[in-house]
Amino acid sequence: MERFVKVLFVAAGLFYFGVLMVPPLIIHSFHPPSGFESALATTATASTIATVFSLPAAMLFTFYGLRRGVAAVLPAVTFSTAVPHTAIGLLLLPLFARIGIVDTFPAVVAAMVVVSTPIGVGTLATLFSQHNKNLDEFLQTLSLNDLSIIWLYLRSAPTTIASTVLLMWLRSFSELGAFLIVAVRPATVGVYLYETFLRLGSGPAVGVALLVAVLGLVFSTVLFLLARLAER
Amino acid sequence: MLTVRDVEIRRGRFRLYVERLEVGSHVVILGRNGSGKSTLLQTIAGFIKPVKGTIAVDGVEVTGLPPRLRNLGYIPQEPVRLPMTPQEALEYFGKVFGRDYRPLLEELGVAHLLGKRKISVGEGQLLALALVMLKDPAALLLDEPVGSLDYPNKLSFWTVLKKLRKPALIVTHDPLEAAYIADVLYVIEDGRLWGPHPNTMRELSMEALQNFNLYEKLGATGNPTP
Repeated sequence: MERFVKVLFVAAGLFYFGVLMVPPLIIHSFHPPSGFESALATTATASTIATVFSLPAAMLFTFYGLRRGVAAVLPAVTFSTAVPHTAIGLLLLPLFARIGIVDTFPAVVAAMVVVSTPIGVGTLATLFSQHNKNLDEFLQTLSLNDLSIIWLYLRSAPTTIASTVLLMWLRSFSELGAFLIVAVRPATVGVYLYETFLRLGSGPAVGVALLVAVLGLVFSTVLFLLARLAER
Repeated sequence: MLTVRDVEIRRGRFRLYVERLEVGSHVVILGRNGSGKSTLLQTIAGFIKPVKGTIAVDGVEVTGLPPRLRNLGYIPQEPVRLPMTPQEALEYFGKVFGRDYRPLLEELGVAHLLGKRKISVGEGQLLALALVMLKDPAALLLDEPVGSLDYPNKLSFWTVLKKLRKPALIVTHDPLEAAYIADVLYVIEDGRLWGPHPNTMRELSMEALQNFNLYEKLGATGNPTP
């Protein structure tokens, strides 16, 4: 019976994957219109820069929220995960328009920071919660300041940090809703796909989507391997 | 010397009053569960703000200072699990405090911790004590430090602590431990700290601990390292 259940779950997983990937492979060919490489490079660069800013922000929010009694700030930082990201874009639009960065690279990076920080908070909350209050109190009385304590927590789980960085980077990479409002240019991968679909129809767009999905599969595998490494 | 004067602590309906507490030797506070022992220690350490009163370390008032600036060493009730090996921890905090940890380990008799990647709960408490001593604080605050330890490890911890002769405020609910370790005794009862009382029961407690050390008497291994 147990073997049957395992086979069933494997079949369900393959079916899920197959439904997404097989029909496009059969029906559509891969001929990406121009601009895909540029969109890919823009998105990867912006995601990297955004992660450099959003990771320390997530660390500080999580640490001070969970360990220094400022927990009330956490919903304020993470609410965007419960809101359509077109709404996030609309909320950012007045400020971006005022400072003149709509449809610019800085707007892409800034929007990425906004949407990826909550992901970092969510992942790091698990890490910081694992270390009990006693350890925190012990380290404080050993004259360590908060930054040193954060550093000690982080060095205890390098694979968790690697997973957090990758998740935040991927969240930035996959953003679309906010960009449609505040950063249509330079085109990111999501915007490029959407515009390709509107302009040229499903054929070319689906082919590129397949390629992006393969990239996603690679990153998911890396995340899975990091999680396995963390268990050891 | 650690002094606590006219301190009142309130947490919800709980109230604890300390008229005067002086820690210049091994001072043990005995109290039942829920009497406020840990709360008092956390207040002195700086994690809880008293409603009134003063806390001073070597004549310097520290009541308004954060824990890291009070020059006190604190070992909490639950064993501390550091996210590093003992060697890494000793090297890290040795650099923080600018001290060589090796002579201290020899003095405490815990040099065997070096080279171990995984340590037991008892060894973890000894390591915590060594790290606190690296800081060389004015006084130690120990919140039932052997509560989670087995009998041989308890004796080991107390033996090491006795060697140190550092002023220490220790809280426990175990009267036998209190009598074994204390120079001076206080009791928390009915929301108030009562004392000081000199410890006249030390000899009796040492005799009792030896008599009831069944690990030795029944030929069990695992005697504590001195």
